[in-house]
Amino acid sequence: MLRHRTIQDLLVFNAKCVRCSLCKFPPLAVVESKEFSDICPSIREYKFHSHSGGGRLIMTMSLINNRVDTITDEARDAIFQCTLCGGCDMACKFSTDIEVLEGLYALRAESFRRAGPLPGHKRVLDRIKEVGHPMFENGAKGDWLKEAGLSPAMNGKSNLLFIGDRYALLKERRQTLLNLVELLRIGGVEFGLLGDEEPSTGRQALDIGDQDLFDKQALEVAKAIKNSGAKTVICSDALDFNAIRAHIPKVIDISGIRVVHAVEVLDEIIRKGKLRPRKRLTARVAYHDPCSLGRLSEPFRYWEGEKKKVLQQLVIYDPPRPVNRGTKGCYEPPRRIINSIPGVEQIEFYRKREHAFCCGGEGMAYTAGFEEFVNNTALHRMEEAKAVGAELVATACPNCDTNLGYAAGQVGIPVKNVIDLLAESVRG
Amino acid sequence: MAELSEVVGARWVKDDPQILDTYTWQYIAELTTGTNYMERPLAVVLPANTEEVAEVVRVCNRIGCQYKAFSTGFGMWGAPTKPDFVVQIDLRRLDRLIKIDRKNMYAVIEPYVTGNQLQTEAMKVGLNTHITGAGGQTSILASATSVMGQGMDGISMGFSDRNVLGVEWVLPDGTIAQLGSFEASGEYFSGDGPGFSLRGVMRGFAGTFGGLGVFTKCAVKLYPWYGPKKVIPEGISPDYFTKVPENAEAGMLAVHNWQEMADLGYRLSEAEIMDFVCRNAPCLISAVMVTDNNVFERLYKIPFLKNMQFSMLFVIVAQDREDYNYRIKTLKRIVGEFGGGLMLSGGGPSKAYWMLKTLRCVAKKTGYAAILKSLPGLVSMTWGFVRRFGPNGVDYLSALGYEAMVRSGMNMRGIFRFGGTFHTALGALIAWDTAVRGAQIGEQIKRKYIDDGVLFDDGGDNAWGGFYEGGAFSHLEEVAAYDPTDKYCQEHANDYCIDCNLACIDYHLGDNINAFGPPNHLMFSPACWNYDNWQQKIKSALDPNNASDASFYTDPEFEKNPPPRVVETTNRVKRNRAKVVINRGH
Repeated sequence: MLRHRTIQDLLVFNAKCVRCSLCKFPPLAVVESKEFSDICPSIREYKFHSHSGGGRLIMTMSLINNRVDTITDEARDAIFQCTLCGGCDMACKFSTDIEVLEGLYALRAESFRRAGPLPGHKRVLDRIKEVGHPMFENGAKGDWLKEAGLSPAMNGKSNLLFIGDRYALLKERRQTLLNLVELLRIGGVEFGLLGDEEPSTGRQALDIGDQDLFDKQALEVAKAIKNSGAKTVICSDALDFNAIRAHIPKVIDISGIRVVHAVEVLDEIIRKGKLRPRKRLTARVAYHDPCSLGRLSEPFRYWEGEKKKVLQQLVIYDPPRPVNRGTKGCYEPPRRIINSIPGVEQIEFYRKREHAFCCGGEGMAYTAGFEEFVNNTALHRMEEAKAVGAELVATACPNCDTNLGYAAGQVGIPVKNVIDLLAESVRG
Repeated sequence: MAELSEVVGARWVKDDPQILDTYTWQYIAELTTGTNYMERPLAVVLPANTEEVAEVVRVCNRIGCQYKAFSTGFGMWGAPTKPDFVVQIDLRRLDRLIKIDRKNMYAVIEPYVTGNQLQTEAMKVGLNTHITGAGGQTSILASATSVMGQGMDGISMGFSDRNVLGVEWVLPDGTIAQLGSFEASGEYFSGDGPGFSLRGVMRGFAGTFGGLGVFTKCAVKLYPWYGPKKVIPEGISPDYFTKVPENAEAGMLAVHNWQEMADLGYRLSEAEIMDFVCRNAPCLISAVMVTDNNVFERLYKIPFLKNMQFSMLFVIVAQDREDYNYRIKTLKRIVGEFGGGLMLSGGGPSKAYWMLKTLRCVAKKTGYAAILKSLPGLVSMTWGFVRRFGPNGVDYLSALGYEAMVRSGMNMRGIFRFGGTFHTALGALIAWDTAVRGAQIGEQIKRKYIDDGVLFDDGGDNAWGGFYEGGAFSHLEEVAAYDPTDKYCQEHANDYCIDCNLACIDYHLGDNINAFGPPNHLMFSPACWNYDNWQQKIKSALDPNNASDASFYTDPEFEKNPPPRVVETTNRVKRNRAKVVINRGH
């Protein structure tokens, strides 16, 4: 049965935490620098074990084992001083099959039920309930269409371009959206749009722990996609890409729909020769993997079964249980796009792909009031860019754009969206 | 709370019970408390430097509570055993790698520098560090100053207590002391002098497990590293690996029985050709090779793997080609003396020759029929590697062995996978042939607990260990896996340790790897010159207020008023003493 798993459901996996601290570091095989050897932004900032993936699983055990009666304000802060980037999950799963990230989501949901939302989070939830999306900008989601000279219609197109709340409503992200539309047009990709009728995926509600509200949004999204007649959903925003691939399928089966991110489409049309980057960009460019586009975008895989023991104490699952380790995210397409731009020397962060360090922007930490944590995390990531010799950081997520952008000035390295870089080069 | 906040700032002290619980849920807590939890501390505090640590210690002395410090904090010994009486000092904020002295080959580190971090930076300048079996994510300082120190690199990089040089030590009363050359010269190059060496007082054999103050800085020896300066891993999780570099070798050797295993150990040690060498039981090797237990179960059924019992993994990282050739030639000669098998990376007729010899080794134990029966499984396994890694997949095992042994990043993936946790017994630092004898005895003891359903059925033999300082001493611990959430295991797992401890005394196998803390002193001290009398004298002299929680060192209060867990363990010892029957003719 499709539903979010609870802290009790996950106990069978997560009680195996032995507090080894591997959730705090990238898999040890890939560590290249001591200074940049954290995987978890939360433990890096707050230091207490409670602020690690494993620590939060142990906080969950306290609730299950009735060692605490209530979730105090301090404990609730510890639960939410986290970007839900999934770094802990992939690091742990190099060695184990513990469901750390799902455990963090379940703990947030439990905290929401027992202690309610943080004040900043409550405002977001109220906003979703009032206007259907979490953004505080005025206007409707289809307003940008006039600027682009488009109309909200599918007209039998098989591709639905899912714009997302942030691209649709944030003025500072408008140019990236217009660039994307222009590139798709040049590349001959036909697509339809939902305009004002495009529902929010509501991943913010899920991050806050309000699963009921997320479920409501998920059903609306599934319905909108179905009604559009689209066979493929092209997501502009990495957050929605993550929500539609990894979370909405926990609520409703959308398995007949292909879900891709815009950079995958752009990469495809470049490789087919329909889009030709021309203008040179002479720079050492480091690509920052957004969590939602990378390790968090692996499709949800339903499993139902039971834990069994063989050889006396060997724990196995019947049937065998699929484990997402973050390796099947979208990693190559944005890199290929960058490499297609003449003159670019693409370099890598020490922490990259499935073990990339988060920009700090997700998990609703900023909205909760943990701005210093978020800003310090972004600055640390940009310092890594400097350490590897980058002259420019490229990314493919509006939140990473914004968040790393705040820190860009402090290290003197600009941050640009891959879509913008490509558009500038294609225009020549 | 107010006094602690004044020392470190309010941000760095917490007493919320749910947050404190993250310091009580500890690896093998069940051996002490019968649950997954140790006792909840009064508060947890995160000092930023030595002065703050010392002041926290003084506050605890003043108000009459205890404190317990840890670095990376992996294991029950890092946590309090008395409820609401101990301040937990988490040393995570002391995480600086202060310097690597390339010329004099040592590093100065704070507590939260991990083995993996120090190794990564040391390799860049052609040096390497000893990392313990706990894994590269654990603290180098903690092992060097306070806790044991066995590791797969012991043959070339020694044991933790021999690698520690100068230290900065907050004594139990809050006095800041420096030991070794640091005291006299401000440089850390020596752990001794001038005057009497205090290293024995500081940690002795096993370490004081945080029972004698707090170590805030130390220097450790580094060793030459001839491999690549930059780590270039390949693959994706969970299949990261590093190709075996030029002039290096990662392989496996096999002989026919325990006696040959004992003799081979001495020959290998005397030859001084190995950088990493480790005896792993077949089930542990199989566990590292796979990524989930369902696959492990299938793999473990292949008789060939299951019966490759008398084997060792090794890594050689030679200085140049000439050195490499010498070492491999010597290795082949030594293994040849035993008619043993040798699996090396790469291909060619030489590899085929040694593979056949390896097959013969296994056949002597299992018969050729078993090998034939294994062929489909072996082909399937090899095909699986080729599918995962391309044509070079057949060499995946070498790359994996190199990765696992050099980077110490796969320890968790191996032994923790079976039931969720493990504990260990035997494993004293002794002569290799005695260690091998211990492994045989441990196998018999464990069989009883396997049959009883307490422990994972690893066939009985899961002895893990190696040699130290060119074979001057060695260890083989008999690891035992189980499900830490299983109530029956929680209740009975410790009995296995107790039985092994008793066997150590009866069969002169040395004071074993878990011979720390008062309950174990009851068994070992009378057989070892009443060593805990000396520990208590040291403890009383340095810690008159008994402020430093010494639950896993020696606690004078336990003598006067033993807590229930000590009484319980003592009773179990008496009970098990009557039950342990070893086949003396083995």
